[in-house]
Amino acid sequence: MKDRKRIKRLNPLRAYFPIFVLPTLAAFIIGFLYPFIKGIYLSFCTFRTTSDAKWVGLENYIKAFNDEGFFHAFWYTALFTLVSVIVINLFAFMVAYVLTRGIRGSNTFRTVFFMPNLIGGIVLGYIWQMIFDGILRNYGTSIVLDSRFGFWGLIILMAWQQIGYMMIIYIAGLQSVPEELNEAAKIDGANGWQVLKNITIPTVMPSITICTFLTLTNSFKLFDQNLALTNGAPIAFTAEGAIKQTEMIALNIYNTFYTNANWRGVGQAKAVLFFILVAAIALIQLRFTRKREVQQ
Amino acid sequence: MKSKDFTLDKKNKPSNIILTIVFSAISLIYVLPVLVVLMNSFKFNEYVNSTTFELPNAMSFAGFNNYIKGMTFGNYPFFNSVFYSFTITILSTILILLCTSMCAWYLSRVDNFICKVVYYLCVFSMVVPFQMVMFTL
Repeated sequence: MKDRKRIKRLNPLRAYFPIFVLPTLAAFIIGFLYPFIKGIYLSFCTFRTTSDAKWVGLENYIKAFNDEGFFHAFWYTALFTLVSVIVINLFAFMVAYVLTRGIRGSNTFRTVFFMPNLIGGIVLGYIWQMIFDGILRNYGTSIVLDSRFGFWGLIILMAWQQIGYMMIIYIAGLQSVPEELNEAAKIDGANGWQVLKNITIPTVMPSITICTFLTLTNSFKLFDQNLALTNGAPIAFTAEGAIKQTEMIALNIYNTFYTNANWRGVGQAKAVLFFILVAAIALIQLRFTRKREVQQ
Repeated sequence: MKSKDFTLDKKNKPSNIILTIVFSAISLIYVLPVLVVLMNSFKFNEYVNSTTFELPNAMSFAGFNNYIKGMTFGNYPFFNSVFYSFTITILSTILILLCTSMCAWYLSRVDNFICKVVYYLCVFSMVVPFQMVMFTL
């Protein structure tokens, strides 16, 4: 204890804290920390603007739990996340695996696969809406008429956008696999599949961790593409009210905020629940894949 | 890495040539959506919806009309928006580079309680969905 105190006093950098950290910290508090804490507070209130909040306790959460549309959005998002994480990572890994084998034109292919990332979410949604509708028109239907089309359309869209980005991460991981390990395995008589399973995948596990984390959180927080592609259509009418069939959680929260001014507190409560969900899933996933990483 | 002639030899293996051909086909499919958009940008509005995948013909060809309309549409001209985007991007990039690199340097050099708190708060903020702070911001 005494030693630590002396070191602290001796550390000449301490005096520079205001100059180095304060600008970033101030921006961070204004832009994130304050709204975040106020958001948690507002989820227990009823309000129209942030200044006329009235405390109502857990009422908002009860309303959020009784909202059928929210549950539908949750399961829809969960299903979408599951499929998209598997599809994106599988294809990204396959593409990266082939493109690190030194085939002709690798660099061109990398550029092509990465390109969709440069287009923003809203624009992507409209591009694909046009294409899907162009195809489905021949069968007398449209992407906003059937929730299955909306679901698989969104999967295709996200795969198209994200495969390139994940591929770059996997390529970086694959290039760091030591050549000696591969050669040793080949001398020992391992075939291609055994090398992939026992050497390549364990050594690129850090990349797999990052990629699953990114795709998982991206899919869960997906908003722009969902809004532009279907905006929740088609709508199913039940006794409880209208349920948008292809609405994901982020869009559901957004709609709760801006379609009914009396439900803003409920929207905020949903946002808190959403945050807890995303944080929990991200933590579990990190634990799970970190365990499988090997030290080199 | 490997010596050059070895990689050249690898490139000409039959299996790798097949892979190149397969990937060329996949790449072509991959850029198709962008080409469709480019193609449709030269068509009149009604033809975009009726003949999405056909090349513009004499009837549907709109020349640069769409582009001219896009540049002058609405009460907020396109180039003004471009200018705003550029200003915001350049200024924010400069500020972000300056402030965050200073902060990161300090956080990695000084190891006390406050620095740890700041570090973990920054990591934490990456998981929080935007909807959480959307209304209060």
